Amino acid sequence: MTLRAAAFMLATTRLSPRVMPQAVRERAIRGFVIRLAVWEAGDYRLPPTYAAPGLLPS
Amino acid sequence: MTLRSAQNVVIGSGFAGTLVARELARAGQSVTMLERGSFVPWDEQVRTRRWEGDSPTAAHNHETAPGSRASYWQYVYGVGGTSNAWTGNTPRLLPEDFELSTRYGVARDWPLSYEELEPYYAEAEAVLGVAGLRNPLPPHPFSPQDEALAPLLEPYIPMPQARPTLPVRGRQACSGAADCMYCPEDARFTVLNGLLEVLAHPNVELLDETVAARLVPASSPGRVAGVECIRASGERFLIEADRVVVAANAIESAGLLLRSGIDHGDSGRNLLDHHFADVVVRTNTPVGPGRGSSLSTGASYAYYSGAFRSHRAGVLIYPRNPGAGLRAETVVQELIAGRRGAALRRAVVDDWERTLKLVLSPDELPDRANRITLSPQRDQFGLPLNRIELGEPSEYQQRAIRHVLDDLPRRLAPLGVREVSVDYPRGGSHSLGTLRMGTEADAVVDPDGRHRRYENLFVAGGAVFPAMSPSHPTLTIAALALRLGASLAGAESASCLALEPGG
Repeated sequence: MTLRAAAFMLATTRLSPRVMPQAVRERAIRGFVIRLAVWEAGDYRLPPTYAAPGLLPS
Repeated sequence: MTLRSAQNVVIGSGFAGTLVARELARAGQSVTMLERGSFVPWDEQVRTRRWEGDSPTAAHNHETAPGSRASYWQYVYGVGGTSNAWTGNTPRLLPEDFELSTRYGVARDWPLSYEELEPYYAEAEAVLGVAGLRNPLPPHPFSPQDEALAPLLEPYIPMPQARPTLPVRGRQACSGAADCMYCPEDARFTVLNGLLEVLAHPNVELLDETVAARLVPASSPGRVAGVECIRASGERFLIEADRVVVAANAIESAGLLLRSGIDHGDSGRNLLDHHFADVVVRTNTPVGPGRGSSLSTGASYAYYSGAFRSHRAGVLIYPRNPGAGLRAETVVQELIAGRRGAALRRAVVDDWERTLKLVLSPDELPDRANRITLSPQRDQFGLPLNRIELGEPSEYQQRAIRHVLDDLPRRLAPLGVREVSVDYPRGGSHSLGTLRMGTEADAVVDPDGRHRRYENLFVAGGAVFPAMSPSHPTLTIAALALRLGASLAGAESASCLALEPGG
């Protein structure tokens, strides 16, 4: 997960669209976000939690 | 083995057991209540996020048969039973739900009519403090999702629910925390906040952390002599009783009768459960998820009622006010598009605001192959585990879900439907039907809840349902328990409580 997080950080920098191949960049973003988003579907409290400031990359 | 005696033994302290005990105690009869689990106060439940204590008696004693559908089977071993762990939706069944065979040629008719149960529905609504159109408490107002859906999915009514709109008998009004399973303000009805006076009644003795191991037949045929019990310490004792009321959940009640050798007719068979479908509809129009005064404030009967029930299930639909979870793919796409910071947050929330979360609740046909049997595996007390055999949802039910999914985009077209997706969470929240009532030879209990082979043995709770309905079962369980309690107490009819809001 640490590697995925690092790849995600790189893929979401301002320069990344210019320096990373698009396919690699998309894979790095998707690979991290999808794993982050494995939430418990029945827990109704999660949507506002995930929407809260600070929990999405800024 | 030590010996005790009791006038009435009620097994289970959930909705059904406590309401039966209430009627008996009020009529001056003495009641010994048996509860496997511990007393876990509400504040401890909320703090620990657990409904059950650590007593060895509270270990769940069921297993899923190989090849059967896996479900959570959500029931609570604890004082108050599963009333500690429910979301509080309390619609009544419709009159047609009682006559599925006569009207549509499917399932079974109930051996009693809606009209016969109606006074007990009204009393159950008063006891549970139900908010709704015809209930003692005013309904919760429609949420933005309800406002968007109501004109498109008629008939659409406020969801009746045991989450009060006004303070009632020591319970606060629901503030819409949407954490109903551990209500942070103790607003949603539980036995502990609504019927504690029954458990404390001088005519009621509550034995918690006590397993009802077996029912013991009497020397004279057609009667039970009492209940063999096991305490958490392993101590065994016998309670001799004039009358026994089995009021555990549909899995445990059936298991108790089967391990007692009481296996007449359909005992253990026709296990039913709601197989919910979670539907997410993405729209062009903002529909306002995340707002509302309670978890679910509206219910649609657009796909519930009609002649179609001869070939596909009825479906109750209701939105979840907290909305769907954030859609990960939306986050991915926005990040790939280079959005960051406030722009990213705005884009993701904007997409979420255009997302409806609906629950589809279909009924199901009884099937004798879905059943409780006894496992060769034993629990720590040497009792056989309850083995659950449950197949996949019937074609009757699957056809209904497919129909709704196909038809929803047409009905919701004014909202600009972009996508409809469905997920099937594991079921197990509404176990019903394993000791069904009826007048047929293979019915387990008669229309009054009396066992057809044992004159002093009665069953209360969801186990007696002869068929199910798209509606949530709890209010019907409560109404049936009040009816049985009134009958056993010798009352002619239910006497409705006057419900005084406030305080």
